[in-house]
Amino acid sequence: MGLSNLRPLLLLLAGAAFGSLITFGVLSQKPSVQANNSVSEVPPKTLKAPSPAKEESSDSNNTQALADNEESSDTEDPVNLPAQAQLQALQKQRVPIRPVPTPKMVLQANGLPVGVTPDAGVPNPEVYKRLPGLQPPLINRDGRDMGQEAIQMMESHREETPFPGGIPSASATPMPFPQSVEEANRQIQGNSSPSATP
Amino acid sequence: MKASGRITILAALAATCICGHVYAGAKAVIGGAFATPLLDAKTAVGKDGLLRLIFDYNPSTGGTTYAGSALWIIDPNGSVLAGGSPTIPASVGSFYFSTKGGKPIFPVERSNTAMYPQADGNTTVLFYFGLGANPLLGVKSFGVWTYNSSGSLIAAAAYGPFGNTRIFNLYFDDVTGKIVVKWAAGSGNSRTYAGWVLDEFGTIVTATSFFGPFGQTNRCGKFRVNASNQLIVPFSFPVGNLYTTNIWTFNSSGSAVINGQSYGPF
Repeated sequence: MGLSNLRPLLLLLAGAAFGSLITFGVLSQKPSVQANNSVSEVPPKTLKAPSPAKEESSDSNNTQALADNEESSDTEDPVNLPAQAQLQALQKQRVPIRPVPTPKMVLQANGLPVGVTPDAGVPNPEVYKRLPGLQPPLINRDGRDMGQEAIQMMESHREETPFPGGIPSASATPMPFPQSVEEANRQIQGNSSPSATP
Repeated sequence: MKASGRITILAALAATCICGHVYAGAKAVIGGAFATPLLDAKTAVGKDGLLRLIFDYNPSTGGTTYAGSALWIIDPNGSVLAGGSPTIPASVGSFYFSTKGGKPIFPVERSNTAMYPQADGNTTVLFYFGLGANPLLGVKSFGVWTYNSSGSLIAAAAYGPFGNTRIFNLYFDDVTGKIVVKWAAGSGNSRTYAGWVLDEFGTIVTATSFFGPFGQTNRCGKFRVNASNQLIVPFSFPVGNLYTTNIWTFNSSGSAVINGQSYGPF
């Protein structure tokens, strides 16, 4: 085999090495820890690089105790510089990049997806008859991808409806605290709407 | 020569593509200020020893760039065992909590989510809808998603909004992983309360009717739930300079008070 036959292979290897060098250079510029961690296949494409400087400036203006509590756990805080140094040292250790596993729907022997019990989502009639109009949750019983259904459920505009079971008058005046269980239950029943009472 | 140049460029592109598949704007929500799950750190270890972590994508200091969230399940060696699918949509929203002086408390946006690792390996995520300027007030709707141990979505539910009521408190019970909802109606001394308990799939297992009003808001405390789904409601009433503590325990469906105890005044 002549040298000319190996030329394409050598060029390929040279190109790969060149690309790796470029990538290494780009990654070493990024402050994010993620560069060395597992890479998600799912994030949206619109991700924007964080602005540590901006966060630091807002942090430094923060005077409340709550802020102190939150900021002390943030790596952007200058107080955490030793921790940041440790983090950078960790970053230098080569951790292999592993992809996040794509979920696979595994079924149990009873045909239900893992994690779903036979009684999952089965409403207790005694409870739901006091909550007219409410539907039990959507349960995945066949292993389908229910992502779209769930997202639609959350994103669809929901009109305000009366509270199931009824609420007392908004102008109700404070009453003495019941002195017995019977008195408490009488008072509670009085607050239930007739439609909700079994 | 043309061909070899093309091969070199293609190889370089391939290597760059493989190694450079990195996102820069997903912030792991690891800090917390309150015990309230919404505001607390969005990390938790389940009884299976696995860490659950929620990433918020593109959180900003301005509160306008949040782009959704993702759940990861990580083993003690750091391997990502599962990523939740679907990811949590940006429509869930986020908040950027300001203080009285208009200065931010949290450095970045934070998704309106909370989570709990259930004993059976599932992970339940709570969504708080309709947060205003104050994330502790004005929530009228909420959602529940449950992922199994491999990250697949297995249950979804949404509740509200209901007229003239709002969510006074919404959280996971620390011990049971059940979801407790404290509904409030009215205001001031006329405020009344009702309680719901939801299981890990979002099914309502306990619901009380509204009770009260018994005067000031702070006289009715945080609702608790036991393993039998019984809601426990504490009250505290001033008696001169002393206080009487009253504890109600509802039956497991919430239809009636089955026990009421009074202690004090102390």
